[in-house]
Amino acid sequence: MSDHESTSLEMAGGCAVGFTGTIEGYNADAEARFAKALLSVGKWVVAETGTLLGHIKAAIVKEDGSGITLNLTDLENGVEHHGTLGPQDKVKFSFMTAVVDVDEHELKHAMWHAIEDTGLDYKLDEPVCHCHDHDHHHHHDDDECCCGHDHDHDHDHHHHHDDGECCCGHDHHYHHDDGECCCGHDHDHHHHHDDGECCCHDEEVAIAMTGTFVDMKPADVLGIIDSLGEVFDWVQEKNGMLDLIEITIAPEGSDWAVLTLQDKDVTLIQGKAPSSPKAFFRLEACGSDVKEHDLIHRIFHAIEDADIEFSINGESHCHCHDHGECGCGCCDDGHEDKCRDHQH
Amino acid sequence: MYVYILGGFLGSGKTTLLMRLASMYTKRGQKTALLVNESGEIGVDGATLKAEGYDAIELPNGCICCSLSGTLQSALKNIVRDIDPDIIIIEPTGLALPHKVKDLVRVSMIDPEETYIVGVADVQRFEDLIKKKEQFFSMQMNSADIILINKCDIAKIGQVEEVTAWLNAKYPDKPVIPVSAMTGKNMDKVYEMMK
Repeated sequence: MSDHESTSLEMAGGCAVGFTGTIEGYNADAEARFAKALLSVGKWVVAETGTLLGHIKAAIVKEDGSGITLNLTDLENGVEHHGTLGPQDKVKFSFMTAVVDVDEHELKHAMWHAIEDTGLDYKLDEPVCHCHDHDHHHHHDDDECCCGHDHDHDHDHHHHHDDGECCCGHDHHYHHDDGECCCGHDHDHHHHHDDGECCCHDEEVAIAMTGTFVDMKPADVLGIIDSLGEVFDWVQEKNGMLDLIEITIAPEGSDWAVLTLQDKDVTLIQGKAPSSPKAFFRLEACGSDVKEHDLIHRIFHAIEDADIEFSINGESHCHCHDHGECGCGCCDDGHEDKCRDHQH
Repeated sequence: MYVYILGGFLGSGKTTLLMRLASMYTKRGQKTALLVNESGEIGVDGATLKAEGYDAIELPNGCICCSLSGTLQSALKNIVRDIDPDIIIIEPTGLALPHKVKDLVRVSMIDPEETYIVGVADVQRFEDLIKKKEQFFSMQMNSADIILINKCDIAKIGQVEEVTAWLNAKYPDKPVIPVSAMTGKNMDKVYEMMK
């Protein structure tokens, strides 16, 4: 018979982990990045357990202990910011999460990655994640990792499938890593212009689109952020520059929320977008060295990929693909059912 | 001297309530000591309180109702010896059982006139909490002297009524008060009940 008396933490199935460190070059942008880390952990917990029963907190303080704290208890409410802290050369931070029904090590791993992905110039007081200290991928003939963790979503699966199809369930028609189009058309237009000038890029680009989201849920906002974040990669692949994407969402009967994407992983969120049967939005983006139409097209598809019912200027699908003679190549591969063109 | 223990699940708003109560007691001119506990080795609530201008004694890295029970008793004795407060407010972790904390206060020989447990329930996540952790939540609320339904300012239509009905049915003898510790809504009713 065991003489171990369960602690309340054990009774609740809870765990609490955290770590401390320092950040150099702290400013408002760093605060927003840190808040994004809290959101990332919150999303991870929700993905693991279905709900966020617990809290994710951070304190960012100066030497004298004064500073700010960030608190996330509900994805719908967003990250609460307490206090103010101006730009600092160096600050100390504490980052902790207390939730239920997750593996303690995996939680710490998720937290570490969340802060790593912020791009902050940070240093931990003690190393946290050893999972990446060595490359597991090539040590095992059967492709299985021996570290004991569930890596289902941590690795690049693309090369695991002989038929070239991705099993992740997302629509990847526009997500080609090599930036090349698979539609079967010859897109090399460079030699089509006698004057030798390229029409592919516009120097300064500013676009605006308005539309409506239908049956919007708070989690959709995170999907929209993730999906629009991909546009930054796309523009970069085109050797262009995207300064920002700002989307103002006005749910019926609620205050506005403004999402400002400054980079793929940096989004400022003002306000909140609660569940709403109908939410109007206005999206603006500005950048350079990318063709205006291409940017509109890519953003349209980014919103489409966010998996929320929507319309932009009254249109719920992109007409760029409404050509009679399809040359997308899907027919030849027997994938008509997956082809966006054939669904319209 | 009176001791108040704030009991409630993680993220129910105990720290915000703590600040509200501390502010109220300060206005009343009563000397108040705050003791906060976090189960992780990294404490953040102390920084939150400091950011808002409050000084608190932090007991991180364990739970005061189990692994840190000795630390709690020592801390209480030190508080009484060094500060001699009129009020002590203890915020255990959201994974603590408040009745155990009350037992520890009783045996710590600080001799309070009375020790009360204020239960805090988060209206927004109540349904999820009951679905997943009803037994633990009940253990937290069973010994509460009053139960506050917190975050009413952000509740959806009908949520407050639903939660109130659930708690009234389960705890017919306990006062149940919907409040918002953040905005101060209905907090005057709570203040009236506190010594």
